[in-house]
Formats: sequence, structure tokens, C-alpha cells
Amino acid sequence: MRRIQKSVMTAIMAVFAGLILSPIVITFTNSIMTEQEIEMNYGLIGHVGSAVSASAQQFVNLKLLPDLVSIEQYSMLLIQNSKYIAMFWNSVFMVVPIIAGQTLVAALAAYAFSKLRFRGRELLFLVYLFTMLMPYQVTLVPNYMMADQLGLLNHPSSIILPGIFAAFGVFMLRQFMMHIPYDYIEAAKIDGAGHLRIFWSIIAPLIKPGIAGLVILLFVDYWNMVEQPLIFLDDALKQPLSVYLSSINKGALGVAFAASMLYMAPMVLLFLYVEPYFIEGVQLSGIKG
Amino acid sequence: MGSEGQVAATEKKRQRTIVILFGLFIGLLMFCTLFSNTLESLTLPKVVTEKALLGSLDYKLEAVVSCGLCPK
Repeated sequence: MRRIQKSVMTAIMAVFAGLILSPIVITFTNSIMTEQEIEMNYGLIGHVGSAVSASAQQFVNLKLLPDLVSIEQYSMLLIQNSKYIAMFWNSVFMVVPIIAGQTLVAALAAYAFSKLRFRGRELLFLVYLFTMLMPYQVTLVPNYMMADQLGLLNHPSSIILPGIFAAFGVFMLRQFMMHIPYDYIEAAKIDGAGHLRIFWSIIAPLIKPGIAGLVILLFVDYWNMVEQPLIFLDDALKQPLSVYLSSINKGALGVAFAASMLYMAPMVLLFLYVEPYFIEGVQLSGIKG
Repeated sequence: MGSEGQVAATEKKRQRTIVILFGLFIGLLMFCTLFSNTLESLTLPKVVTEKALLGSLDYKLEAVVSCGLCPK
């Protein structure tokens, strides 16, 4: 009886897993199609803006397997048109400093908020929380004005700097550090350790899962950003790949799937790498991704 | 304890594979970033220029007629 129950559960899970994985499988199989085949199947998407009423009555031809396997899209993406690779590197050069900076700043701030006792600590943390709770669109105008005043517009640092000092990391790591008993710190203090030594030798190794969780959440968040680059960066050559992918229906259908694969690869690899820590980290901090 | 050590070893191996894959991916992209123009120029047809010459065009036409129904 139990075996049947298990088989049924496995079958149900397999169906759900298949449904969830299907977009990735379709993206991959479509990335090895020729440009003509893509145009033939999805050409309609490129004309949505011009013929809404006509397209409302029609559907694209979603195809799982290509008629002709070709690496034309990848060749276009990686060799023939350097625009896409440049955009990929733009994404990398924005996301890596944000993650490194925010993890460092957030870990130190979280240490202060959770382990140091000073006046107004709770109030200050509440202010931090408020900035986190505000939707991005609310802080957009002040952010834009500040970037303009500092002369950062149309420069990646207009996105990197607000990213480094965002409050989410502080919140997440503080929750994590609250679980670390204060006794460790007291013991270290008795041994003559300063705050930096305590942070580096005691807190940092203990919050590794939290940092892994934070890294993956930040990566997903900033790797997929669209509004910030669209508003802060005028120059199309400075924009990340996410902006291009969000406007994929405006022509250039031919490389859409290959670009998606290229875009997805670092995220999947990073997730697989930090997955064991990530799950532990999210469980311990009580935050859902 | 033994099985725990085994799990940790498998985990380490898996992570090493991922690091290698990531390195290959970034390596490929760096290679394409640096050498895509060179690779592209290799695939382009080569064209040479020649000086114009006076002369006449050759109008000779040739054709092969085949008939599927004719007996061989």
C-alpha cells in the first residue's frame, strides 16, 4: 500500500517538475533552431505592437523540437554581433560589485544591529526596515535626483552604489545573527578580541549559510533588474542583458533563445554551487526567497 | 560518521565540477569577447580588386537538353 502511495506521489511530483522545467527545456531546444524557423514560429510576437487586433485572434506555434539543429543563434550571439556579449559583461560588472559590496556592508551592519548595544539601535533598525519595505518606484525619483546631483547619471555606479547600501542584506543577516548566542562574543572579549576579530573569527564562519542565501537572492534580484538601468543609463551600450531580454518582442527574435540560455547559465551554476548552504540559510533566517 | 564523510566528499566533488563548468563558461565568453572579430573576419569572403581592362564580353551560350520520356 505504502509503495503504491509513494509511486503515485512520485508521478504527481514528476508532472509538476515537468511543468516547471518545461520553459527551460523549450528555451534550450528553441535555442538550437535556425533563425528562419524562429521567425516562422514566433514571428507574430515581433508584430504585436503594430497589429494588436489581428494578433489577438492568432497564436504562436510553440515548437518543442527543431526541424533543423543549428548553432546559428549561438554564433550570432557570441561571434557575429558583439553587442550581446558586451551586454552580458555589463550585467556582470554591475552585479558582482553590488553583491560583494552589499554582503560586506550588510554583514558589518547586521553585526552592529544584533550584537552591539547602543542607544537608538531599534529605532535605527526600524528606519532601515522602512527603506526596505518601500517599493522601488517610490524611491525612484529621490534616487534619480541624488544620482544627478552627484553626476552619476549614465554611469554604472548610479546602480551599483544604491545596490551596495540596500537594506535587505542587513535585515537578512541580522535575523541570522540573532541566533548566535552572545556568550561566544563575551568569551572572545574576555580573551581580548576586538570587534573586527570577533566578526572575522567567530561571526563570519557561523553565518556562512546566511551569506550564501543572501548572495543567491541578491544575484537573482540584480541580475534581473530592468527599471534601474532603463532609467539611470541612457546609453544602450551600457545597459545589461536583462534590458535587452525584456524588450525581446521588439525585433531580434532570432537570438532570443540563445541569449536566454546565456543569461540563465551563471544563475543556474551559482544556485547549484551554493544550494546546500542556501537552503540551510533560508531555513535558519526564516525568510522565503 | 563514515557515510557523513562520504556525503561531504560527494558534495565537494559536485562543487568542483560546477566550478570547472563555470570557469569554462566564463573562459568561452572571454575568448569570444576578445576574438569574435577575428573569427568573424575569417568567415568573410575575400575580395580582391583588379584594374579595369578593355575587351568584349563572351556571348557563347551552352545548354544540355535532357528528356525524361525519351527511350535510351
